[in-house]
Amino acid sequence: MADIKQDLKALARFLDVKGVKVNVNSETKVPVLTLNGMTVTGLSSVANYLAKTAGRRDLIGGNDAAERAAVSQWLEYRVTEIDRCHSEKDVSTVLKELNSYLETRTFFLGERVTLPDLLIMYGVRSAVSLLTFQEKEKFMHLSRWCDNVQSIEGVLQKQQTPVFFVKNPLYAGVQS
Amino acid sequence: MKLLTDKGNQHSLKAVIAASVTGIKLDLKEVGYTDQVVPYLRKNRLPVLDCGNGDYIFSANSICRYLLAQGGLDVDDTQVDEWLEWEATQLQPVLGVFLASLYGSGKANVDSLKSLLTHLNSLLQGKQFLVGKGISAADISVWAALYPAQASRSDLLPQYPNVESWFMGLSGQSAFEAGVSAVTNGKGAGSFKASILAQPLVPMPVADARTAK
Repeated sequence: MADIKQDLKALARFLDVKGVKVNVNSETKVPVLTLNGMTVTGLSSVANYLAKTAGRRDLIGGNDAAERAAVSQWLEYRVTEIDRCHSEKDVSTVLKELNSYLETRTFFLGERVTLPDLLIMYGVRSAVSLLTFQEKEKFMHLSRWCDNVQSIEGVLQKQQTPVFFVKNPLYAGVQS
Repeated sequence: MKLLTDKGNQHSLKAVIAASVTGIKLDLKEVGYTDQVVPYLRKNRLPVLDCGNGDYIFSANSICRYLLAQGGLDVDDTQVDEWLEWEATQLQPVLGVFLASLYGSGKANVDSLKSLLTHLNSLLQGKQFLVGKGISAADISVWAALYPAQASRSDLLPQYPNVESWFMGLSGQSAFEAGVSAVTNGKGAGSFKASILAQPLVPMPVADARTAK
């Protein structure tokens, strides 16, 4: 559902980390980062490593163990759930889960953007863009969150087109 | 802090062992095998750590690392990230199927684990711990993942000598023994069966990521 290599390169650009090389194993879909002679394997590990390299531990929970646990579990969720949808039903389950999680949250870890917001938005972007306007309203919280994150300066790179959302509800009475 | 888990869930070993390594009090609350405890998830993902005020940790590896951090014992090392990610995203999808057939029908294809255990064996060459000089979440997680397989098929690990010596080294540690007796109530491998057969499988990678573009 997502382009793992493009997402990690976009993250590196957002973090202003240069000299990043990413290869994705075509069978296991596991990305390997090469940077300054160091190699790191796995989307979550690479994302964490890029944040540390950029001096942005605040994006991965800083010294708050509960936040670090939330970051690691949602990055794991991206790999095992978002990136492994085998059917439309799986996609719909993921969108429903994220929509209900985001009902009471502005961002994944509460009030400020962290790494899961970026990597999960990159991961669901193409699925959300395929939704009709009515479906986007059905996934109201997910749509509001997706629109928020994609409009943050530097999050979307050139080749990542924004998802279009209509601000005023078109379908009265649509319950989330 | 409350750990919600079904009876005999091998993943709760990761939390119970981490708690006993750090000496943290962790009260276990038993729930049903198919209970969906986390309000926003649609699968019976267990165990779950209830952190209060609507926050849940539903990844056993994240729980393990969180509990170690409470005792100041979490190792901030990229290699720990890599091992935990390998366990959750590469090992578990294959191991889940293996355990379900092993505990379900008694027969299981040991070869399905070959490349994964070979990888683990090569990286454990000359090592007592997966990362650095002491126990980390990586050891606890991978050990707990393999425990129900080794407990029911003791012929599995001898083919991977480095894995076997690493595994046995940890098995002898009191925190690991305490973890096993807490999760199995001292009743041996059979106590994992019901939970294993109820657990949702971790999906395998999709053949071609371009499909839903």
